[in-house]
Amino acid sequence: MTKLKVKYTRNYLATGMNINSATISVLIGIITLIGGFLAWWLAKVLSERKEDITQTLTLKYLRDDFLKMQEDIKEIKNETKKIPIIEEKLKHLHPK
Amino acid sequence: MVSSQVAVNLLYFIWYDGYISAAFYLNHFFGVNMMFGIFMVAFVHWFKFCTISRFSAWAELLFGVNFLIIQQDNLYNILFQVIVGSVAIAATLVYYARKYPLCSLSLLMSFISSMFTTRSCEDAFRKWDDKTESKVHQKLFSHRHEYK
Repeated sequence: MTKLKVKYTRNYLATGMNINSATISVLIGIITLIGGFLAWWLAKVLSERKEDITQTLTLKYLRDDFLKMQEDIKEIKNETKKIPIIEEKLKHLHPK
Repeated sequence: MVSSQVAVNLLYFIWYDGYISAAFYLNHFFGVNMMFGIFMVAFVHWFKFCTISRFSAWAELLFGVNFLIIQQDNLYNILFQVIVGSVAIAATLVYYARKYPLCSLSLLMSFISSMFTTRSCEDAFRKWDDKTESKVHQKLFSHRHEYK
């Protein structure tokens, strides 16, 4: 049976016609669909990861700014010997 | 438009009989009008918000010029359209990814390039994290107003 199939394919090739072009097209279609789905899924995962990175960076910069602000408040406190109102307001934002 | 034209031309190779029987309608719907090609090129060069479509507009114009020269819906014409159309689509995607470095397509391309350079999934993720962090910094925080 297998031999017959091989022989048939060879004869088919000898005529210069395409072998099962429909099957090849369907295969290419299926591979494209699977590839497209994988690419979509990976892009989704990467987008979520990018959001995490953005949030981490935002928090880092906020913290940096806050620490600088705190140092300034200390300086003002030393200079004026008074508690600035802003420190009272920022008390609840103190980093743990 | 370019994508649909490439798809129609690919039909010639995949299902020749179908392409021939529907040729009139396909060419009527997806064929190129020379004036429209010129209009598209002028449009995308005039308006800055359309810069991404530049490659596609030039491809449309090339299709029109090509048909003026060959004047037949033959294999050469179809191959020309498939090759030029595919190059235009690829160029559009690359241009888009470069213009918007934080879009999903750009992130995906960046990850694939990291995979090729590191040849390891774990290292690729690490490298991709560094790249993305610098992109986010560049795009969102490079002009931030620091405290003092």
